[in-house]
Amino acid sequence: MDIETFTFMMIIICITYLCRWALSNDDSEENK
Amino acid sequence: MRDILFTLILPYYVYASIKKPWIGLGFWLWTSCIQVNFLLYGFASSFQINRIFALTTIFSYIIGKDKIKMKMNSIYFLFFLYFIWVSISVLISDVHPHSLHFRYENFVKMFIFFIMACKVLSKKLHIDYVLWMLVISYGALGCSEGLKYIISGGTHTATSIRAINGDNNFAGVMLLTTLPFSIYILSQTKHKILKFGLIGVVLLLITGILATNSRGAFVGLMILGGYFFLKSERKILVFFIFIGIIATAYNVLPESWFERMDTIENADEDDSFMTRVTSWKMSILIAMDNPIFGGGLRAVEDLKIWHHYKPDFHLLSFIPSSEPDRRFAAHSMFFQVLGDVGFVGLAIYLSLILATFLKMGGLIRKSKKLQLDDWIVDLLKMMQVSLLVYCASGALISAAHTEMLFFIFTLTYVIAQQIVYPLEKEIRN
Repeated sequence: MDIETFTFMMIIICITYLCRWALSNDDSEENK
Repeated sequence: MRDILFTLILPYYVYASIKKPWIGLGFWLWTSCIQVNFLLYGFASSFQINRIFALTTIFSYIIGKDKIKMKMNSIYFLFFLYFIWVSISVLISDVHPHSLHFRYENFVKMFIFFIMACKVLSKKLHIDYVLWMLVISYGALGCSEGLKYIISGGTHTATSIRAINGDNNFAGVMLLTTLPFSIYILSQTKHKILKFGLIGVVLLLITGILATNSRGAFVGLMILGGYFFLKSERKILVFFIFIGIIATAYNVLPESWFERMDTIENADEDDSFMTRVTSWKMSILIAMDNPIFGGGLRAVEDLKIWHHYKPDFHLLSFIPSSEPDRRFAAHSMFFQVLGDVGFVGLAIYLSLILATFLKMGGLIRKSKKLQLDDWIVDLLKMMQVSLLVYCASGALISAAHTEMLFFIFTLTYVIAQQIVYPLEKEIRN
């Protein structure tokens, strides 16, 4: 695997995880 | 393989974007900052990814219940005024229509992003999420360049990063501006492994910035270092960390890198710098002829306009430069704005930057006075330094209208209107 493909895979993995995290978070809480 | 992977995961991203508009906004920012299509080589490279996320975010906002009403403040007013100014300038411009429409379309997209972001971001969670998106976008590319630089023993130069739409100088400034946001994210992360990973990201980002060989980004990096040193409460520790980094860099960086950075001191003897001055003079000539609305977006890059003002070049002969034999890009965000929208447009643009900077300062003072959560102050400080290094490094590249800069305006508006003012109101009541 070349470094560009590795970077792309890392971006996709991180963004998918972040997306999952964002979906599972309840954003109805107030700002503190 | 990349295309198949991306095509399989895209419906999940679209689903998330429709479910919550702020998630869509993060994807919108991601695909605006980096050209994801450029990382795909097969059938998926033709997908209008940015448009998909822009539309899903707007759709999600329309069908959603939470609608935030925008309130006028100095940033909103000046940004709106600047948008109108650019629009009028485009209407009366002589720049080739094909290029002009392309530039204006991008500008309008950024403005719509600003409006949507102000309408959907309202909580720390939202802000942290979009900042993570930004750090992942530029951070991954910067780290990749940093790794290549280390592996190649300093011989690799990031002349242009494939997914960043610009040259090494542009990429350097984008990575540099991302750095303070990465530090903010690092300060907010409690997970130990994630924290270590983020420290690695910060170090590799710095290496990636050095790999761009950009003098503008290097100057910005020095400013950033100076800022952290001055603001740090543990100056001795920071001093030794800097010494360690500088000593390592001194031993690792190749001779060619030092030779390039040395040209900063002898700018008047440097051909590359003198061509910039030629371009700046051309921008001044365009603005002198069109002081109110300028020549239109990227007027200085238009061949017809360049030739039109070439005979007047002697009017500014008291400023030493090379001859205007070839046309160049503006090579400065401020001269770019001057040529694009004239002296009045530049005054609005500078007022917008200044208003944003002052607003951040005011919000920091207010947050401290009201004893609001530390994250607000931490983020505002990082945004301040981001804007500062962006302007310092951007003074040498054509980066007047970028997602990064407009994102800083947006974030300042959101923190003021959705976070600090409502909390202030709550406390006072």
